[in-house]
Amino acid sequence: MTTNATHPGDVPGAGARAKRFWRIDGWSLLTVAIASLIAVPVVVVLAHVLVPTGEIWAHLAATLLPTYIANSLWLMVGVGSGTLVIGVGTAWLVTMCRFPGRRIFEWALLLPMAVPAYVIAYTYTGLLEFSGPVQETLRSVTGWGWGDYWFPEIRSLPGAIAMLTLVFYPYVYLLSRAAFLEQSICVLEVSRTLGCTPFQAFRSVALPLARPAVATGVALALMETLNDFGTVEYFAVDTFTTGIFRTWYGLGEPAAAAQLAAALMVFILVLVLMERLSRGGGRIHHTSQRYRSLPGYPLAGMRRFFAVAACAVPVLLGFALPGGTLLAWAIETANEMVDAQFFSLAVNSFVLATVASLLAVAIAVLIAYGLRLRPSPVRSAAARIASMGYAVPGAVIAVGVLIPFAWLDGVINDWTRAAFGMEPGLILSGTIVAVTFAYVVRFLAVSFNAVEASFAKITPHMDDAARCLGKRPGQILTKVHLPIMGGSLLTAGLLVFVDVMKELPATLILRPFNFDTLAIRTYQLASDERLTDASSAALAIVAVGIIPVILLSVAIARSRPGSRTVSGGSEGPER
Amino acid sequence: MSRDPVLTLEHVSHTFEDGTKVLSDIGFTVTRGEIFCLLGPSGCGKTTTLRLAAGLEPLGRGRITIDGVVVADETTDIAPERRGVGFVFQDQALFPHLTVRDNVAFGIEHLPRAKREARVRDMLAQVSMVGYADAFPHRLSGGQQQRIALARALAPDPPVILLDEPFSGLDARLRSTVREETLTILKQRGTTTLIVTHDPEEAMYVADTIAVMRDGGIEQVGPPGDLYCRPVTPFVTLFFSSANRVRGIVENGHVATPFGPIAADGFAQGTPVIVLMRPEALLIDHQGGPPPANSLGTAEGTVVTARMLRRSVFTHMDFGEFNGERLHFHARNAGHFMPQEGRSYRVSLDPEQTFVFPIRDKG
Repeated sequence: MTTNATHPGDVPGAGARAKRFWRIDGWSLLTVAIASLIAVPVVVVLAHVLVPTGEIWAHLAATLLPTYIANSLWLMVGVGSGTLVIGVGTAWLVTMCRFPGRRIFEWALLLPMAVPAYVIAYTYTGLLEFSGPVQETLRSVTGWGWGDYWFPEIRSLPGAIAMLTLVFYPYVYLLSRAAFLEQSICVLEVSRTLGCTPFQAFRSVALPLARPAVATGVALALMETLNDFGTVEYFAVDTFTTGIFRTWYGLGEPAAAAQLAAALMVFILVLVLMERLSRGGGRIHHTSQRYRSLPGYPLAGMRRFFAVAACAVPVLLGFALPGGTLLAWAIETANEMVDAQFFSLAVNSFVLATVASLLAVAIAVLIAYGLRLRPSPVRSAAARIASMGYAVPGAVIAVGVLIPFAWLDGVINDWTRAAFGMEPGLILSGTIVAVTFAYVVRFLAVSFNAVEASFAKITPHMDDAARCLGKRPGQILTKVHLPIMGGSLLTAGLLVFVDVMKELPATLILRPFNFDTLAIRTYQLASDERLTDASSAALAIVAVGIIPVILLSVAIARSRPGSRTVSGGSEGPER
Repeated sequence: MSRDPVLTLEHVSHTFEDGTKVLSDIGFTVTRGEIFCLLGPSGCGKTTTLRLAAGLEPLGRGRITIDGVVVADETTDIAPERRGVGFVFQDQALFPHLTVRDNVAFGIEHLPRAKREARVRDMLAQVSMVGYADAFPHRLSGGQQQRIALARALAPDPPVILLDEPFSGLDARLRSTVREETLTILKQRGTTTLIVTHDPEEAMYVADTIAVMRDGGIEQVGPPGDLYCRPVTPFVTLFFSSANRVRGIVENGHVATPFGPIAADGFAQGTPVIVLMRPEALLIDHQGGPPPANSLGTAEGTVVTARMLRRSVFTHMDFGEFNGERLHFHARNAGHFMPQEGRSYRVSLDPEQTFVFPIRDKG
């Protein structure tokens, strides 16, 4: 047995309870340290609200800011209503109705998630611009020339709304479908016996019950909208994100850029709060525990045709058409574009994504395990702070990373010059350290949610048993939890990996000089109007992006109505 | 068998972090080789006591000693991994990713390889699971999982082993078998054991000493026979079996019952008391003749219904009005005599199964 060890500095009479609570232990210090580090970019940006503003801000506020606000708001209204209609509509059709191809649409409707917004924007521009195949065909058929006819301009605000809606509606689809699956059929049947038609039952029962999930889905879509840089920049729709980028690089005004970023942060904070409020004071409780397979209204005639069309159009426009176009272009340009340089880009993307996802999973495990060992207010606050980066646009995080890193590099160089007479250069802000850090800040929530859910599945008795058998908490993590969680950790890592592959704005701002990735290459070639040349890099990103879609489809397949093993809540990454 | 203390709790009080009081000033000692049982309804704090002893819950107030070493008090808090107690959980909590062999070896990884393997073999032999060393837990039946959980906890040869409702997850048929096996192993090894259960029959079956707990306190400690035959509170009496009740006031050292006045020694004049009579105390006289010599008295009762319950007959009887209350009593008599419904019988009262308690607020 062990000796009767007393801990120095104990308050007499405080008891073991108080002692354990107040002991400054390794895990708490670690989680707080990590959370503080992760919070740095956001704090730096928010702090710029208080920095005295120069003339440049006054200039911005007078000229460009109203445009940024107006465009961002219009985008949000457009994308919000677009994703709401498509997401909820398709979710209702595939969960509650019976029509040909329903089983395929269940997962196919997720496919547009694989396409980054900027990639779909480039592809449609290539298809629909004056020299593109659509207008050329139109001219050759009709014999019209330039200026003879009107054609919708894709590079516009409505065009941007269409692009973003097509790739972001799966968020709403995913969460609404999960909510519909969770609903008890009894509630719906009661409403039918009380005289509702199927559609009235949907409108007055199913939809209100699903409202919290739908609101969360729309909020996610809107956060992605505000995060988008590639599409709006290419379409010359000036929003906050492009404004931040331009103020930083075009005007060389980091402080003003940070203030724009701060304004955007406040904007998002309001959005997050609205989402929380929309869940209402009380959670919606399911009043009946009885689940049977969902009604499956069989559709016939025109209704059946419209249902198929309603599900097919988003998949065609959001995935099949852009994906097919990219594939055709990539085959066409493969000889010139798929060369040694392409592979070095792929390696860069792969290395960045791997390092970032390993870090994100490792940190998520540390924080989640700390919370499991002893839930304390400090630890849960740390966890919440560490996972808030997902709500913050990449451009904002980039600004928040670059300012303190550049300052730190200056300090380091001053010190080494004084001490050793040499300067190591920009060891933080000029290397992949900065961009990797930004990825971890932005995507930690993705891995954290997956890891936390996985921990929750392991009974606490497992920990207790291991401790009674002489294992310290750290040993229990490596000998019990990690082996049990294996597969879930891989999933968490993959989700971060794919997000990093697609990420554009933070990469653009923070990458080391001449360090290109697939996403950067796609952006550069598209900016140079070499849309077909950009296709091979873009296609590679889309191909990797299909991985999480497959993971989600598997989760959905397991939760089929009738075989109610998984309720919707565990489907997919909850962000 | 030596009677030196292995696990001692003194003046232990505990409050959960949300402010719920779970234990108030409890204390007991488990001696070497003894099987000590904490018995009580759910929520009485028995599992918390176990977790405090193992160090899985930080101690609020008091002192816990294992093998003469203070493991928890005002200034000490030895981590569970350094206390070295064995713990078997209700859900077994076997590690799903490890084989039976590795589960059992989990707590003895510090031993040299040869010694470790020998110990695992030995433990598996003791629980008759030698053939399952390479199986994974999910392939085992509930009873087999229970045996492995026991082997895993015993492998490090802990000074004391704690069992938290170890049989309640098993179905009724399996439970008695597994209970029997576990008891045999623990007794053969001479393992000092603290076991928690809510089942009085189980407690009486396995325990050398039982502590009956209620609302975070200990009502009574003693050998099972003492607790059953000499309960000190109505709660303890009623926890082991149901009882017929009569309320009354002590007058001249006696309390009035339908069976005549019963001695209520040591109660002051005018004390309100409750008389508890187990169904076994009501002996239905179907042969006539004088009542048993030690009978406390007799009364006439009418049979409402009678039911044969395997080894005994359970009879509902009406004893008419008493103190303004209609008395409906139950009698349980061994044998196979079936009283006739509607007929009156003389019933005599057995003093061994009749108890008088003062009425407090918590009756």
